[in-house]
Amino acid sequence: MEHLILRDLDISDIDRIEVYEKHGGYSAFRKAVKEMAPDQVTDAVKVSGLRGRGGAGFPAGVKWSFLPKGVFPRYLVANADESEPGTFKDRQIMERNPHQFIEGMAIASYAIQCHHAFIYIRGEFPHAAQCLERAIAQAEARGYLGEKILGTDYALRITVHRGAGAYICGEETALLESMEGKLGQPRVKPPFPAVVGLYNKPTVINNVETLANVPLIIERGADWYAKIGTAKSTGPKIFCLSGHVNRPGNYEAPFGSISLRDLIFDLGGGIRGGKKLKAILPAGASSFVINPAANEAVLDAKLDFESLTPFGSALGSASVIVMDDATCMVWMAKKTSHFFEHESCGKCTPCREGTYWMARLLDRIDSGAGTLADIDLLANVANQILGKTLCPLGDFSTAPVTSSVKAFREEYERHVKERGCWARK
Amino acid sequence: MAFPDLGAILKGMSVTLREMLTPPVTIEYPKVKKPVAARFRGRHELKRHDNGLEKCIGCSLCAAACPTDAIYVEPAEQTDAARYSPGERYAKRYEINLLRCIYCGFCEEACPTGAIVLEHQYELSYYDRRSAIITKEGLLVQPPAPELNTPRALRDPGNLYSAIPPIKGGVEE
Amino acid sequence: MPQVTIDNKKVEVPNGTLIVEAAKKVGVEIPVFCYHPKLQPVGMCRMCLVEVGTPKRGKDGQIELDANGAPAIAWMPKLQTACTTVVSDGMTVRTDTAQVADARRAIVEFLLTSHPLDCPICDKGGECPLQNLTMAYGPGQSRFPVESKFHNAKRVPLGDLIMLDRERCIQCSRCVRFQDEIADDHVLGFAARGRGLEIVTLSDPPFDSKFSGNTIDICPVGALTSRDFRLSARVWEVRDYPSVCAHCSVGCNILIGERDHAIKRIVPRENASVNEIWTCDKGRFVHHFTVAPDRLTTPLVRKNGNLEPATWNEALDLVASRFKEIKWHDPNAIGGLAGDRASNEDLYLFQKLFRQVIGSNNLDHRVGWSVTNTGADSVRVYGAGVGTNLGALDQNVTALVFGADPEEEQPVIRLRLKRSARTFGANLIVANGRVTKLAKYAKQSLVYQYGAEAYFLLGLIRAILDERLENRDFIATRVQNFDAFATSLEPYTVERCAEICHVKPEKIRDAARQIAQSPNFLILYGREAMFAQQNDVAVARALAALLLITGHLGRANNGLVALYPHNNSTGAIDFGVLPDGGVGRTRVERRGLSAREMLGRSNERPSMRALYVMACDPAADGNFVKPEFLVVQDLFLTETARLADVVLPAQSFAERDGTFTNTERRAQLFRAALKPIGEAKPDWWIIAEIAKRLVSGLQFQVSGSQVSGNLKPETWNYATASAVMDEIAATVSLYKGMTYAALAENVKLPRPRSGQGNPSEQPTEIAMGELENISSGKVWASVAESDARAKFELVWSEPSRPLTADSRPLTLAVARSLYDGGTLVSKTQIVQARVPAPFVEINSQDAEQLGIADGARVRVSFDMRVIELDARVDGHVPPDAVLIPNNLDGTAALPMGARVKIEKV
Repeated sequence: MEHLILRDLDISDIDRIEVYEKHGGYSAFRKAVKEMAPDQVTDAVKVSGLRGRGGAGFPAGVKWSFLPKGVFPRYLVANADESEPGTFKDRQIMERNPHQFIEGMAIASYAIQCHHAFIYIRGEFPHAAQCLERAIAQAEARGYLGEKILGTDYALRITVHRGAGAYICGEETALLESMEGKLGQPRVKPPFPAVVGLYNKPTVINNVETLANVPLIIERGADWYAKIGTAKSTGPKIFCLSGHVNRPGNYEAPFGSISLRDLIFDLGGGIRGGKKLKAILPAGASSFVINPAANEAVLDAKLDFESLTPFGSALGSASVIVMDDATCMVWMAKKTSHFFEHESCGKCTPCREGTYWMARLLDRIDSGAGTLADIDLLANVANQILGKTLCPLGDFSTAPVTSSVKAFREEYERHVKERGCWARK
Repeated sequence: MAFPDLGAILKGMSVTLREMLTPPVTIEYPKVKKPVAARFRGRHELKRHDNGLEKCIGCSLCAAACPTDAIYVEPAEQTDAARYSPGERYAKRYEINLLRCIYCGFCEEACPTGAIVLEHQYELSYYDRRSAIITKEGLLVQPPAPELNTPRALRDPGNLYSAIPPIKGGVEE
Repeated sequence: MPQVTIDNKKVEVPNGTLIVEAAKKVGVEIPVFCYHPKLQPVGMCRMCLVEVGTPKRGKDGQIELDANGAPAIAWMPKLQTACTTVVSDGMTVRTDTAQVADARRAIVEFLLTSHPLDCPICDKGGECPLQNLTMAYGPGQSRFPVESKFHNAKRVPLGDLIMLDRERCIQCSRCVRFQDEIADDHVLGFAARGRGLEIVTLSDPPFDSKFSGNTIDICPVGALTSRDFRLSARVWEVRDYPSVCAHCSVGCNILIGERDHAIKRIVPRENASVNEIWTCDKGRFVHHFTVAPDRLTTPLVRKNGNLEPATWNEALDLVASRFKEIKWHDPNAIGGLAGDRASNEDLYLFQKLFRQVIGSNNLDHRVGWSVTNTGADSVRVYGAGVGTNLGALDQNVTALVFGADPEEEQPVIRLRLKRSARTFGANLIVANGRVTKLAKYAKQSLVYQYGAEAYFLLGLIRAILDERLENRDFIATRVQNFDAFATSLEPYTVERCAEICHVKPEKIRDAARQIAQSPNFLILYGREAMFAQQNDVAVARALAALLLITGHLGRANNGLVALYPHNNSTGAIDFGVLPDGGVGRTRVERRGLSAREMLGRSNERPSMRALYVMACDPAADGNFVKPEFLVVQDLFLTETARLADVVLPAQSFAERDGTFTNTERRAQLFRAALKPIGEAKPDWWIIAEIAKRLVSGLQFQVSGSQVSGNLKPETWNYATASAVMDEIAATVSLYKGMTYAALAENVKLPRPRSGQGNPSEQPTEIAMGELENISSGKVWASVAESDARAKFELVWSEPSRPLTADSRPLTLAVARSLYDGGTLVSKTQIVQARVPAPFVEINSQDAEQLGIADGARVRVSFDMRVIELDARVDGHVPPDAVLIPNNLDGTAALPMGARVKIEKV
């Protein structure tokens, strides 16, 4: 099968602009700038049904059309702050197939008539940032970026902005704060970034993978694109597979074409060391944990944005973390809690205090000092955070905790009764 | 009918006889002192932690609780060079006017550190009204050892967390 | 106007209202921590979560109805923050549901998990929103084990004045937002993240702001505490007395917190027209002079060359008999100097004593500076209309701030002008001889040459006339002498004025257009223009002319505001402590001698035989020659008092009742908070006692003297300060009806003055939760306002050219530093680090020419003085000028506008 996004798997040196051009690169951008009006580009993306790949799945074309009319300058920011544990799809795109992403940015910029676009890349990706800077320089040299692009009046600059390594800066308004040189803390919404964004100007923020899909839509047509995947979730998707599998990595497949079973046992080559599958985090650390033993059907659901909802989980950014039967679920919850405690920005009370409290409770239960009442307290504290925070981080932090207490309660009780972790004894 | 109520007389005399044989309830105060009940509320004392630091942190809650306005507290900030009590605050002046005090014990209840206790001293008389006002020196109990008196310099550079709630022994030394 | 339903109560509110504000209107309390009505909402604490629904709309956009015919409500799936959600029409809000109660309980519980719970030793305890809201909405018990508590640094000095307790901080950012949004000193910020998120200072020196104390008040927990008040009393033990700040001419309303007969703390009291809910750090912290150990406690009388304690009778009798004796020979040999820090009552009686009993017009309050009365007269006639609120000038108001530096001299006015400009869009034009902090809020900032102030104003006037922008109707009906004025102005073209004052002509024209075309125009003119040595008359007349030709007077937001240096400079002029001005800003027929004339020069014989010096210290300015008989009435043994024959101890503003009139002509009442120090008496009482003694012997006085025949000792019987004010209210037309009762209207206390009470009975906050926008005090009306048919005369005054460069090539500009070397400031240890060492600021061009490096020691010579100080080289001072702050160590009584020479030491 031909890779549409991870084209480096088919053409190993596609990060070189000549190679990318040879394989049709930048023809979509040429077509957009020369032949299409900006609104036509937006309409094409709307028709294609392209949804945001960052996790929330918001239709990209709709997002672009939210910008208030007549307010300039506008900005496009590519969210390359790929910080969700278990997610590494954007990194591969940026390091190995950067031009497709940059072309997507250029098309999106043209669609919203932005003349200065930014890539906010996390500080831990220095190599990816260098790849992007090199690719931007190549594109500028070829006249795809800069003034008078391809002989038209359109001008565009792209600037790579390196973050300082905060998970919260993947949240779009915190990302904007960070870009403005402030402390990375989310803003109150509304106003949304589409109205008041970077430097108080209308701003579109899209995920790297989302933007990498855009050239396909323009090049091959929105109708062609809309046929890939399911009716609601169109196009190809990169699934990041990690954890206790034999072949972890990025796997590209159209939405609705593969199930978790296909991903883990077929593409991923099964559980490492011949152990049994115990739990799956389908959307990185901020996902509701899936217990396949409770309902085998979950493994056969064809993956798209909505298909995991009946099983009390969600696909999010499709960062599938697989755990075998030697993994302790309390330990898992403790690790994610510590992650969120560390990454909470501290701006709002429930997240700042709640993540701290959950981490302490899980420390206690995990160390064997907990009581049965602590398990209920843990679930209660998580529910106290839920729905009260300024940004989704607070809600995310509760997902692995509440879902693991629900799906693996006996394991928590075992920690209390056996005064410690069974897996480490 | 010479002795119609003989029974009544005998009954009355039996009380007299019984009382003659029981030991007396009066004691030879002040040579002999009767022990008071454990929860008797006598004169106040300001207690110390085991390390000699004063339990009183000068919070004035006793004064606020006092129904007769008998307590006066003037707090101040302290440093590790001259430490009186755990935390940042101590009672620079602490006075109780015993003529006003009604020994209700509200101050004890209000005290967050258990510093003020109504002890068993009940011999309270004065030659003048002024001496009915007892100052901090008079209220504070003796330190467990002379070298554990306050104020004194403490090696621990300001363990300020232990003022409230009191951790056993106050500031660690 | 959208209509919203909150807990089944309907209310209509203006567009853009937040739910939390709309709820207040219907009496529904929504608890908040981070929200503050004066600050931008941030939605951080999440305490204000409520259920919010909007009307369900069908596909056709029509509101759907439910089974009962009421509009169906689409409830939002999550709770919303009431502090960030703006109401919309038909919105329904529920705050009384179990879900909301659970959320509030959850938030309080979360906040308390990291809180040290050291309320018994916390200064906020008793007036703490966290305590109050915990009692109201929090859980009764903690489920969080105490040993898991997060520990952070306690007792972190955040500058000289503020102490930070990082454990108590709930990260609400009120302090950060206050500094950013209100004070506009960006010196606080957050550092780190998560539970470790903490407040840090970003400036060096730390927390470098003149308004830092306000963050203590708005902090909803005990994280920020005053290093002055810290741990010295519980707030419920402190009694609050309403007072007025006695430092600068803003007249911030304050509450004096008293315990054990000393001021424990000062907090602002709300007055929407004066200080809103703020005060500067000087007003808050500089109060230790009231109980300083060196206060005068008994009268002193010179015996055998030494000042020795005496009884009041002894001292007063001596003063009266000596005055009587000198008056017998010549009443005009007695002079009076009264500082403009004294109250209205004192100043009124002081002039009454001199004019009615002694019969001398040798009266002045202008000690250490010299200026004519022209500016004062302009204020009487053209003073800004009643109802002018400097903190709420909107885009329809153009305000010219002329020769003023409110940041240092009237800090709260700088705060309020900033609010007007930034929040309401007022058009500020800032003109001064240098760049002041206010300039950054100005639409136009103009820097003229010192000494050429009048030329700048004439340029403005000429530009208005050139473009025919003057208000011709007004000029025709109300203004006299316009033609003659225009003729005199003939030689002063915009270009010529521009050349002399060094402002580009197009900038003058642009400013003139804005002034003439604005619906409202206000002038605030400050000390640097008021005391412009050669041109004070020309400046005052030009300002008046600017108002007259544009017709901008007699209404709110129009007219003149004089920014005076001291708390009661206005009162001193109002009550005629001037050689040529009578009580009620009238003119006296026979002009007396001014302060400068009375004091004379060091080589002259003093022109006065007797001097009565109240609340000022002329000897500190040097060149003071003691007259035959010197009486000094003051708080301290000042340099003048050391020379005196009789020293009378006066009470400070905290020990007595009185009134001050602020720079906007607002008379405000202050009440006694402390018991008198020693035998000190109020100034008005001392004056009245002297008068009584003088009057009782005057029956023998020959007729024809100044004394009116019916003056009897009984007319000097004032039982209280309010009796003096009653007399003022009855006899002085400007102050008609301004009795204490009238001035006390709207003066509110945060809690009843019942003294010690149970802290739990009355949850209080310091004027921070509920802002009532109350105003108190009374402003007297100017002539333009009280007389709608009054005619005004344009008076021409020829400006004198700025002095040309000679052997002393630079012009001296005298600035002031908020914290100076004065007696009052010197008694407060905590602010001493903020008193700058004396310095001279030089433009970098001049500095280069003179070979002076930044920080170099230089010698400055002017008039007949030479002082040595450190040089600061920077860009705030224009070329050809130097700036020296007055009243620092060795820089007293500097002459504004003098020529100076600077050389390296």
